[in-house]
Amino acid sequence: MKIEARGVHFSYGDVPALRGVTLGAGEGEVVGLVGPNGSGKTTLLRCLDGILRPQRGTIFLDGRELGQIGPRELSRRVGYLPQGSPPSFPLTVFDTVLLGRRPHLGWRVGERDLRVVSGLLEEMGMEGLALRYFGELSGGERQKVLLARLLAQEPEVLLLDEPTAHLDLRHQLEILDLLRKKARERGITVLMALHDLNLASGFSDRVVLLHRGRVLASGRPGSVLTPSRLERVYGVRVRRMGGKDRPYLLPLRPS
Amino acid sequence: MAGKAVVLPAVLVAVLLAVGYLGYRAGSRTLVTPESTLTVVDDSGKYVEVPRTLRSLVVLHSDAGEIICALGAENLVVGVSPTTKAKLAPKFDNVSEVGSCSSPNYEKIVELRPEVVITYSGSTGSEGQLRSRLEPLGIRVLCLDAYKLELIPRDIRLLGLMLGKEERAEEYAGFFENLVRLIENRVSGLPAENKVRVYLEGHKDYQTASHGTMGHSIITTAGGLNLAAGEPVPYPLVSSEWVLERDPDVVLKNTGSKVLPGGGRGLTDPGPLRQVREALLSRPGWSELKAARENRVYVVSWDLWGGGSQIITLCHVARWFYPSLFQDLDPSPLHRQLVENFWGLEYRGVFTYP
Amino acid sequence: MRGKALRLYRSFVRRKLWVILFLLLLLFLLSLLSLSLGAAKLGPGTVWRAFFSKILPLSPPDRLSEVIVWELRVPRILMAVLAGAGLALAGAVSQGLLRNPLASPYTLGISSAAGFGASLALVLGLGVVGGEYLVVANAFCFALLATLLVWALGLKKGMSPESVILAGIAVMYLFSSLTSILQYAAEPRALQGVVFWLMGGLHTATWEGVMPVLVLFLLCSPPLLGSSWDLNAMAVGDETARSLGVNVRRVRGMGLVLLSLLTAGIVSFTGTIGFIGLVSPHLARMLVGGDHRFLLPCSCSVGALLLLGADTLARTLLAPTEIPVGAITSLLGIPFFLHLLLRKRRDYWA
Repeated sequence: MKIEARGVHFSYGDVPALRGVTLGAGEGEVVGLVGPNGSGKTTLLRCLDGILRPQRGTIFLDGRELGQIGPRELSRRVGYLPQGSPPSFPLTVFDTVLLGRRPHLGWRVGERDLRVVSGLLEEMGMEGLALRYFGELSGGERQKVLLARLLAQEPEVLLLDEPTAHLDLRHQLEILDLLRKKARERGITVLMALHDLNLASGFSDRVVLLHRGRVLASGRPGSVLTPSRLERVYGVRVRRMGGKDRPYLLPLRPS
Repeated sequence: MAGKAVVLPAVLVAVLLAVGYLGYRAGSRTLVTPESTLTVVDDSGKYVEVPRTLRSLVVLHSDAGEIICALGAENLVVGVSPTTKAKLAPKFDNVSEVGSCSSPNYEKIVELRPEVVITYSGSTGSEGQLRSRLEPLGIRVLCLDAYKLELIPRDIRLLGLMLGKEERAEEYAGFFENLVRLIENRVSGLPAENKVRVYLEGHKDYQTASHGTMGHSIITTAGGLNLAAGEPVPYPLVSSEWVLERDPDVVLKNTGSKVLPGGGRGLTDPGPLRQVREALLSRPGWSELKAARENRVYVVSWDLWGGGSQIITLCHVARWFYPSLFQDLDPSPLHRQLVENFWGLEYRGVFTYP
Repeated sequence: MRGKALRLYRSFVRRKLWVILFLLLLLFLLSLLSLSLGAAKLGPGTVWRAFFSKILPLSPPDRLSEVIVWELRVPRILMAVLAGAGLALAGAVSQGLLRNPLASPYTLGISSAAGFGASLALVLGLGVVGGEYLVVANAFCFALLATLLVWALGLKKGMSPESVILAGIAVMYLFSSLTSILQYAAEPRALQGVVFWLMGGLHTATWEGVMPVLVLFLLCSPPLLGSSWDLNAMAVGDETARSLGVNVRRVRGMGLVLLSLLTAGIVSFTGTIGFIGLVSPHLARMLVGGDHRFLLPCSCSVGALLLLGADTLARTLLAPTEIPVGAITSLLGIPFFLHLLLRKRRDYWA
């Protein structure tokens, strides 16, 4: 297990968000976190990144407790993309991606740092955008740049909260494809919270379904995303189509 | 990254400046060295070493300027403040301007190489800064608070000593002391209930003066009772009801430079002063005031409220308060004497009404 | 096509460095010009000989020129450069820390508190130490008090940008209103002193004043400049910055304390000079963009240029009367800034 949560409980004041969550992800695995609003996806990701400290339970990274790992080292190994599109800031694309190198930087920016950034930009076909200002880009381009920044961190684990929200179809697919590719190539563990069940189905090795702060089911997409479970969790009737391993779900009507 | 680009030139400049500064400090900075000196105590209470015979000075306020004119030493003045120049025209028309006492121009002062600079004490006269910047260069700073009536004779005698005009100084100081003594003696026996109750208003409507101010001391020296004496701030803002409630015996109004740009000196007839008085009386309820009914509302122009002119104001005020006691005291010839005989200026203008 | 992005980026960076170097050169030239101007009638040749005679083996002109140049003009120019650079740096850092284009040392209450301390000294003669340094020491102490208040209030609310901004504005109004009350109770002569102080001026710049400001600047600017990367990260957002390993609370807390200290030290000697801290970072952003590694040094250069230019005008336009520097900075700075803002289409803040 690369990254693991055991018996994690977290409440915002009096309001419980996670009630005993246990899950893990291995090296190179792509895990899709699904569940309705308020099921605890964001909270879980924040706990896994060390932003929130669970009131009960522990998070482990490579078998070590998260609390024992210093913030600098943690930021070198775990990358986190929060939900939502950030307000824009006056940096160029190159500088934004370069920001991802901060955990590795001293005072000076080294040759290696510059090469990592330019290499990533080339790989993702964004060379031409290198000196454009972040604020001038479209939503899809921005998300790609933020993803490049995460990859520049050269992390072992990637935590993404709704990386495809507000994006058009093509960009959604581009990004998820890239994530899967990186997971395979570099053995990066990817945990992503997705609202779109079909994307989760198509791009995850494993799907974890959260319901009211608890893990309802975890496993291959085909085995987790059953109509009865989905009706129970989302309150919606769905028709299941497509393959057995990676189904396609068509919503019908609220039940 | 940009750090390197900045550090190198910065270090270079710093080294240059350090070398220059040390080289400068190594030499002497004194610009002025008088041959023999004497030590006096000025109005700030400090000991100041001044040249035995003064040859050049800078004057930053007109109160001292007046004294110097009275002593006949105006030719020794090499620099003045703009207000001094304006108030004592044409005496200092050809003298350089060096900034005001609250904002002096050090470059100009230094360029003129005066032996002494005269200013007020405290921060109003930039005393601290003037001392710290000019004294290392050999230029002495003398604080004369000649806006306070009680300090004027002392300041006159001090300057007389420094300028070698002791006789004239005695004459001039005596002018002040005699008048003050005369007035004080005549009002000394007055019991409190007979004292005139006074409301004093400044340039701003309803702004009066409480204890510790020049207006208050003039009123009390003349034997009056300042109605605002007990207020907590020096220049409190009161209301119409406040005045009506207290129903003063006498109302004194000091008119500002906005209404009288040239001061009383620029007037040929009392018209503007009369207008001020009428405006005052037309305030609701004010025509019913005791002072209004008995015709004891007086308007004074602002140039009678500073420096040596205060003595004339004092005379006017004493006569207004107690006409029976001061029938023989006529301020106008005294004012003429002050302006023409002592200051050597033209006596003209209308300063009070009625 | 290989490595094109990298090449472009390198020349992009190089261009920014050239801009900063150019600004520094301009600053040097302006300093020389400013040195040769003044109320005393000294020709440029005389001035430069007096100046360089101490550095190079030249024979000096008369002692008067020496005194005027080295005692009056050089410290004043130094103070203008240091104060301009310091205020601009403080402004740029505060804008970065609080992610707010209107942040400046003024809106953090530091200047108002210093003004109150100075007024207390000028009007009531009350102060921490007596004598010559009464006003300066008072201004500094109250500025520090304001810093402490803002820091403590912000800390209580987790050092979020919003809480710091609100705390700063509250403190600013607190001290401004107290100053107004003092002004009401003041004698006209003391009042004039207060008004002059509040408008800011460099006419009191002496070597004794320049030294503490220089020391403070040398102490505070390296850590502030060193936090450039953290500021870049924080520009994106607190959460992102944290995930990149930035200790947001500590960076914001320390940064605020340092920039306040720097501002307090400057403002105690110069009075409240407005707009340098607000406008310089924006002008710098238009020239070199939002990367703090270049933005901070560029802000310093812009600030120094602005203040030196304004002060030179202040003491020469109506010589021998001196116009308060603060009046000139607001008159010049704002229209210029508006003009640039309206002309360029690109939005330079976000």
